[in-house]
Amino acid sequence: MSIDIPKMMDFLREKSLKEGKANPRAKHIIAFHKSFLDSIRLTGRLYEIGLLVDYKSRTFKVLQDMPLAPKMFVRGKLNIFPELIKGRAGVASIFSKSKKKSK
Amino acid sequence: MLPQFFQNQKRKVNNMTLGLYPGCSLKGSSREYTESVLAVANACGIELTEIDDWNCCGATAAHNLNKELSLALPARILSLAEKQGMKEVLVPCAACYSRLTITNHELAVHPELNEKITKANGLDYRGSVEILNIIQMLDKYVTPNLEGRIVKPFEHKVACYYGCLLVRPHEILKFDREEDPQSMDELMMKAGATPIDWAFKTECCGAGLSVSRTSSVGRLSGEIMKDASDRGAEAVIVACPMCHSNLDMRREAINSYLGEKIDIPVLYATQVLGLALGIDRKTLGIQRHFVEVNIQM
Amino acid sequence: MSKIGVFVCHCGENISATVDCVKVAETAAGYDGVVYSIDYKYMCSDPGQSLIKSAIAEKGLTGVVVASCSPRMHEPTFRKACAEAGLNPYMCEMANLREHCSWVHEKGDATTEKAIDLVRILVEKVKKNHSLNAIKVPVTKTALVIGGGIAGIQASLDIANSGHKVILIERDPSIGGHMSQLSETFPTLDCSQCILTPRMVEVAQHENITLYTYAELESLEGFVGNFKAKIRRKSKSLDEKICTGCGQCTTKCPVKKIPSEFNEGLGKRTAIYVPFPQAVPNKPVIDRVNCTYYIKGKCKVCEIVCPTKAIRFDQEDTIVEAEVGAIVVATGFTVKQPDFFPEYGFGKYPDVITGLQFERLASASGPTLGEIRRPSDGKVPEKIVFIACAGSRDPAKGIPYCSKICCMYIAKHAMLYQHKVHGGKSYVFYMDIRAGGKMYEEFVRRAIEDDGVNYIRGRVSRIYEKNGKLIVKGADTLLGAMPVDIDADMVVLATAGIANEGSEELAQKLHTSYDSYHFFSEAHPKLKPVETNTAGIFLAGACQSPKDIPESVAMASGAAVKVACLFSQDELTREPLIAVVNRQAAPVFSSCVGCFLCVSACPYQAIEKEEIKNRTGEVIRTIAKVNPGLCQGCGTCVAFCRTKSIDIQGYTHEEMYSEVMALLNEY
Repeated sequence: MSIDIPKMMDFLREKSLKEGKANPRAKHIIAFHKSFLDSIRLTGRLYEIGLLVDYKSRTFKVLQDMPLAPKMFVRGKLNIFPELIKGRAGVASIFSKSKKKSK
Repeated sequence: MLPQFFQNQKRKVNNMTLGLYPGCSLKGSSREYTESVLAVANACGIELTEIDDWNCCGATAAHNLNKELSLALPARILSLAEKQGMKEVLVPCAACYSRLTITNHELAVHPELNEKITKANGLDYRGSVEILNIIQMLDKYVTPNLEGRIVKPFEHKVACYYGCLLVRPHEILKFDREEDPQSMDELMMKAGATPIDWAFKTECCGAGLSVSRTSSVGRLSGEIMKDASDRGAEAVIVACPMCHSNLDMRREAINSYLGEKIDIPVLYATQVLGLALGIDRKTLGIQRHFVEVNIQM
Repeated sequence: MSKIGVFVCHCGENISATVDCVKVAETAAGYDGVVYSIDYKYMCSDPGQSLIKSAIAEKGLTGVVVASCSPRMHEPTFRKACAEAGLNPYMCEMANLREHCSWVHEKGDATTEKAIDLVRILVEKVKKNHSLNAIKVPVTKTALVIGGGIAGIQASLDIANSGHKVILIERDPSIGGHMSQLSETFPTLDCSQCILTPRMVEVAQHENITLYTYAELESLEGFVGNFKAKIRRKSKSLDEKICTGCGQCTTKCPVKKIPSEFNEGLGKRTAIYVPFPQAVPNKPVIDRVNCTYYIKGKCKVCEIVCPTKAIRFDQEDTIVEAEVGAIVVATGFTVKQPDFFPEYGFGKYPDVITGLQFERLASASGPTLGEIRRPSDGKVPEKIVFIACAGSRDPAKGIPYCSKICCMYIAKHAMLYQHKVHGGKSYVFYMDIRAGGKMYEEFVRRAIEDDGVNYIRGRVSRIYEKNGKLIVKGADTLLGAMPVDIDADMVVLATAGIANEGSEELAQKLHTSYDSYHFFSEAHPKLKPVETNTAGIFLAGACQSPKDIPESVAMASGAAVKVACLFSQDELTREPLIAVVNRQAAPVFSSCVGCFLCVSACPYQAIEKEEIKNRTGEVIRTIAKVNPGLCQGCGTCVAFCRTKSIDIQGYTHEEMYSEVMALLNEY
């Protein structure tokens, strides 16, 4: 008999968001996750630039990590264009079906 | 961007298609991991077939915010792999490995989820796909044939960093052991390295807080680098793009937390193996790292 | 011709409130074979019993039905009354009009009808009853005590002092058990060996006690009062009678590096060894697994130096057969090695030790002569951390129950450390403090208030080693789960107490029950803690559940009294309500065909095979025979028997059938 702690943590996170009881100090963390999910809902895969733009628009931390972008680009780590998968309608429908019960 | 990395070469492994699920990081910010995986696979005659039209597994964001989403996105990937005739899929990213394996397990153990998760989303998954992490794949297909192929033994002291998701939870992953794991250490020994015994093998690096809480990453990853440095490691070896990013790309935050500059490089296990096999640095993507890798080769 | 008497009790208002007792008595009077039927307010009272006795005398009753409460309540009372009046007590039956009728139904005609039915069926049964006599079983007045720790020693002394013989067997080379490994005992901080060794010597010298060490129970047969035990005396490879215990052999033995079991692996011993200086008997044994002679055929130094030529390399195990009347199991406990907690580093870091290992360090006869020193480098630790519940109260990784003694011994260890290392700092990570005995709570407070031990309520998540120190990462839950990191020099884990190795095999040899933890099961957790469900086998000490020394001693004395009680009679009386295989005249001898299905069915191994011989001694048939000493009257064999050859006295087929038919037929 053991307690699945990660499952419990995930459950509490989801519940706290549903009930509007999320800790205000977690604002940015939640914003990041939401931006992440927004990005993959549209294209099926993560688009880093899109993620950061979305995140900054949620948190207004416009200047954060700015010097990092060119360093990443120079090392070939930054994709300019998003990759759109063929089945992205299917992915979007997965999103909408799962959102039915959550907020 | 460089399409030749994702061509399908028709040499099968044991007459079986070994699938590849790169995941979002390996296509973008950690592309050197993919480069090294493919380089090692090519050098050892192993064919990897990328799953066609794969989607993001949802990573931390999905399982933190929405349980159904966190199972449905990986379920789509698994059903694609099954349909494409793959019995085993290599997942180099430890986070994707964790999500896919856990989803595989949940769907097998809770058949009622099949209704909610797979059928409701128009998927059909029979549970036949086996997920392998990078070390499992190397131990199965590469290391048995390494005899005599190590031309440049990586003779350095290394600290093998497993991170959170490679060996936990043991009941589901059934890989190595949760405390003081040894699988990566043994792999590094086969490449000629000397793995050290250190205390932070499975301590968290800060994971997905890289952007939203960079200071926490600085602290957590800082403790890891400090212990490795104190014990004389010349390089830290990882098998996860998130860990690599936090220990490498966020080195400034680490140095600022520690109040000292640590210049120990961070290498992927496949890069070390590749170097030992005699593959050149550029093919393995070593120039892409933030912290310079200037240890003697 | 039956002459049955029916006695209907009102039981005050208990029965008469819902049942018309007068009507029941009147109806019963009209039954065939009933010559006397009355009702009365309190049948179990003296006047009530007199009514029964006079009716037996005046009417010449051959059977009695008392319609009153449950037989569990007063069957012995009424049967005794009948016996006093000259009627065989087993011709008296009780109809339960109270628990089975008046207490569970409303007042009304149907209730009275039911009561009448209950009386009628028992009247019909009693007509078929036979006279039965109690069974007498002889008693061998020798006890076997298995286990030579403090519980076994105490039980042996008590039984021996009450005038009976005791055979004490212990599987280690010396008696003493875990108590001999302890340094000081709580709550008095008495030196453990100082209080134990006088008892050990008393056992060895007692004229009523036969001590076999390095011996185990090989097999057990028989039943209470009449056990036959086979004891395997393992070969010590020496002639105990001529060995003087001089110790020359142990000093000269060239194999010196075997980890000492007595010192919990912290010290070394030789291949020919005495486990500790105060061992009883103080004679060595040869460890054949590690002795050069047995491995390679060379050496024999001990044989050469022995002044009395006592070494016998070729000596074999011997089997001793003993007849005993009672058995006391006192096999004690062992500790669960905490290597299933890899996060604590036990086994990886030599300075992470168990509580029992700390005892050996603190003991004046231990590997460090009583100084607390780190096993890794021999330095005295300046900071020591004790972790409670390292395995206990843990359904996920360890054992779910509490090991009871650890809170106390941790306080003791911390106090001993503070006394021995002035200026040292000790920390205890605990979940709760369980100090329920006499002077126990005060003892723990002394540790905290007088000796300055730091008690931190919280668990430790990880221990790792850095620069020669053990970094202990815990939390202080009383300060809001504040993280506490201590760079300790030594960590002591309070390990779980579990059933000793071999408990399951021993319980199976004894045919006695044990639980899922392999602790021996007591007959009733509250009211029969020293008895088992197997008659004649008693329990003492930690083999039943983890407990401290005062409780073990008390339990041992309790078991001894039960044994003395058993031995106070020359014969044991048992109820005759047991199974019997029918016997008939020759040439049939019995309807039993000898299939022995009953033998496999019997949960008490009470059925044997009986050979029927003719005049020349040839065996004609083998049939089943029930041992009256062991049979508990459960009836399983009766259900299994294919030829209806086996029957329970007092509940025969005939008697039960007549009850059922009486119920179905209207009178």
